[in-house]
Amino acid sequence: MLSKSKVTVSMANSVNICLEFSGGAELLFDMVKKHDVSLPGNSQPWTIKSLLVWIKENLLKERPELFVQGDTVRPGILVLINDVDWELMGELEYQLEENDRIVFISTLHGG
Amino acid sequence: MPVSCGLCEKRAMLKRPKTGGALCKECFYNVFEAEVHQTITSASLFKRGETVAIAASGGKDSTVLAHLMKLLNERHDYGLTLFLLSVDEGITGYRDDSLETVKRNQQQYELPLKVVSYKELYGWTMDEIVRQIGLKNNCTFCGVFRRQALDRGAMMLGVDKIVTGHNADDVAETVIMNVLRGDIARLQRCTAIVTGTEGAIPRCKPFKYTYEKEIVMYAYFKKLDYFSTECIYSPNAYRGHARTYLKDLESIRSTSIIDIIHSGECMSVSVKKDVKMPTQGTCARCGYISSNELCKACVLLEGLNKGLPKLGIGKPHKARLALGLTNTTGTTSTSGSQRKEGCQSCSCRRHPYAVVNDTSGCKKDDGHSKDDPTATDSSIKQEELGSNFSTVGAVGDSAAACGCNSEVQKGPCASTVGVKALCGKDDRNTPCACKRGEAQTNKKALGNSRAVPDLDF
Amino acid sequence: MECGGQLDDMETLPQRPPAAKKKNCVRCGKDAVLVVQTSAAFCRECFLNYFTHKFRSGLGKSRVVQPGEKVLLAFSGGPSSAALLHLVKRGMEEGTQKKRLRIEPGVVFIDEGSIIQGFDVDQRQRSVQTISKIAGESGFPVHHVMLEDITTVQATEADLPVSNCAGTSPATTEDVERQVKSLSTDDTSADRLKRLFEEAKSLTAKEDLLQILRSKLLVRVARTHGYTKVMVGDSGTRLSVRIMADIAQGRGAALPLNTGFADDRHGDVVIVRPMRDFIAKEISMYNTICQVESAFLPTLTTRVAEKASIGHLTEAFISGLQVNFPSTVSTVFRTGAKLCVSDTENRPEGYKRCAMCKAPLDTGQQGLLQSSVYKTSLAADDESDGGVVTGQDLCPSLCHGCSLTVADFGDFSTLSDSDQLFT
Repeated sequence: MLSKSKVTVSMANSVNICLEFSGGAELLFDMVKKHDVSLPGNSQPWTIKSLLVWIKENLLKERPELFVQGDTVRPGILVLINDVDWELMGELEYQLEENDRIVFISTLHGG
Repeated sequence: MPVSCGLCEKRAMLKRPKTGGALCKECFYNVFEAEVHQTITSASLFKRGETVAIAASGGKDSTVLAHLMKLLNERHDYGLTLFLLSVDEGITGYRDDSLETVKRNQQQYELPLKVVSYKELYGWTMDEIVRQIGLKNNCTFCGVFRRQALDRGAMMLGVDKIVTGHNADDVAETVIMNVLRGDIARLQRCTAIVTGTEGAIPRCKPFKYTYEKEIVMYAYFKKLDYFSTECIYSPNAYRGHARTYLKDLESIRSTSIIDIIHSGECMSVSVKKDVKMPTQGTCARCGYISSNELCKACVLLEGLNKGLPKLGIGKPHKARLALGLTNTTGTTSTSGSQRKEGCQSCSCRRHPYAVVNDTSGCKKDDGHSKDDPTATDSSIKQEELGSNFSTVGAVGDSAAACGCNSEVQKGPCASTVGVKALCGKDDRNTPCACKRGEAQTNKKALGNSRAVPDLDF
Repeated sequence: MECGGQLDDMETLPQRPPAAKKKNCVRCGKDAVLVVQTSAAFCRECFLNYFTHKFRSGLGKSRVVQPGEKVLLAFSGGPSSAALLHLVKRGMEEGTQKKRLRIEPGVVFIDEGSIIQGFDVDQRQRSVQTISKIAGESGFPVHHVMLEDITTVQATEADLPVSNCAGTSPATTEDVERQVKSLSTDDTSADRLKRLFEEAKSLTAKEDLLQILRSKLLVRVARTHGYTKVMVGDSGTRLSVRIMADIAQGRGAALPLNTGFADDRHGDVVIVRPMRDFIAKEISMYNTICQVESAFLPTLTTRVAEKASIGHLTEAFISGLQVNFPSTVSTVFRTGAKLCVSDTENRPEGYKRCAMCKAPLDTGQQGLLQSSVYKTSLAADDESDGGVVTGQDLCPSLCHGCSLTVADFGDFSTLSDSDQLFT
């Protein structure tokens, strides 16, 4: 789980995206809010669903169950794709595009 | 596959949980603000000319609340004078940081800020309390103390109302929690949009129908500055279960939050008539509203000061035993107002808010209080509260007899600020053996001016 | 919210004690076999006495069931209703003449197979046989109905396909076969019901509707055959889940009817829940000791994911809590028991009942229910934002909970076509 960040490798159909964690979700990522990542080339197009698996394997530092549950995000974590509610973008099935910005905001902390 | 806004042609940015509709940023702002305005006006939360304290923690809800109160007050000319009111629990690395956020909010919104701290009110910071009791029940202390602290801060400011950032998710969660705890009295109160209207400073929840998701979205889109770290002392597993359940429910049916609030509202009017409800009395020691002879805060504080921090945790009758109060229960249920006040050696209740002396003198009286091992039902105890309160004066009179032992007192007379606010006298330096007259004056002021409600909805 | 730790979370919630050592029966001192909900340990004999006594005294105290009354026992095949059957039978046979339970019981079994996906005719037949056999052994008259009977018109009620078998001659295999076959092949009422359930957008709505239909059908069978009470086997465990699920579905107002001892919303036929004082664990122990036979039948939520419906999720939630906080079920249950239908007598003239579930209408009351007003009034504000069609627009006489269910049925006409729903 603590595997080092993948070396950025430029491959055909690899995708560069920006991930942001806030509202407390950053706690699970060493308090780092912003991550520019390059998703390696893949036989399938990248989706939020596969992104979550990738995040779990590559970025999550602790307690993955507080971020992902089953194949989706933990209830209570909002997902914005380029600042748009993911519920309007097909949720898990959304296909990532170059330079997409995915924001995860936890609603579960404090008030 | 861009979805367009349901109200205009622009691109939709979020899906509303309440209606399932899609909205763009601008329309979302409008609808969000209009709904809170509608909640405020339809429930007649405020009157022109009132002063209102916004309970500000620096978190998302209270930050959005401060922003919105300021905005709506100007836009719709409510004619309110607004204050920010914060409680400093004394949690290093959490509250000190979040208070910085509140201070920035103060600048941004140009609202006066008042901070009251546990240290000044109770003589203890949460850090110190946790050192005493560990991590297990600290949230009980914090919750109990915070409720009182907000009220006292509000009294110092002399405001008419307090607004809190409790949102729809919070209200729904509390309905669930109260059912799980079997707390019918709180279940009845918790869905009210205004609590504590009788003689107390009323508390309002303008966000009662506002979903957490929309508050977070609003804060995000508006780039509001809020603090979002979980309290370092709050590993509250049980509430966590309820919260997870709620979020899961919402994922099954998005209207669940409002549906639960609806259920809660219905249930609040359908409690059977023969169900014994705790009658709200006032704490014999500090005058704060309480359904027991002593309010929870006083019992907890007493425990801390006596080095028995577990005192207020657990069955109420045990705390009463330890405090030498129990025989009042045993006798009052039969003799009513004629009963004698309990252990006369224990006269520490004369000091409002502060728990100052060692009551070990009354331990010997435990023997005669053993007659109520079954009187754990708080409802039994409630019946005596009226008479209980009437004997407060008598307790004060016997104060001289108290072998008040001030060495156990932690810090200065704990609630000097509160006392000052109430009686106008600065007794910050008064030792714990406060002058009787003053104590009684304070008591009277408390009794008359307020019966602070139990707001832990 | 400010923080999680408001108050009293831990202190009012006894946690599970460390793994129990061997215990002795609190009454006779013999080795205990079971710790009941009051955390007392009992041996077999004392447990049986405790259990039986609690059942009898619960019935007696309520004074709902009168001596000599005709009582219909709803039997699903499950452990709780099987125990109910057994308790009634024993109650009528044992003890002195004076102490005996004096009622005139009958048993009813509702076959819900037509709406269970993947439950074929053969399986259905077998399960109906099993159930009929168990029910028949009670010696009471057995009525067997199918859920789809609810869609048949009231006029033909007398012709309900009810096999009324006198005690000693339970339904023959052929009887059952004939019935199942005739109803599941080319029968329109089964098809209609199936269509109805296929219409539902959510499993939550299906479960909710099933619950309502079941009660309606029970009441109907009772009426047809002159029973004035229907006893159902809901255990305390089941009811505490129901309490929570009702709250989650906006049915807080109807909760006292849905989970109380007696449910009198149907007027002449009262639904009684005499098993509510027992938790599931106690019932299983009773069935084990008395060798009470029960049968498992698939339901709408058999083998679905935990989060597939509100009811299913709630069950997982409550049972999960119960593991670590053994008082969960009883606390929730007691909370529910402190509620009643809000002062029915003092209601204004035009006080109405929900057209579907028959609970007093909980919508549109002044000042009280801001939530529902809020929900609809704001839908008007952003009408084009695809506001939820609450069903209230379609049928203003539905309660909050039913309007949610109706909204999930998409095409409302399918529902109203099955005319018996709203009568």
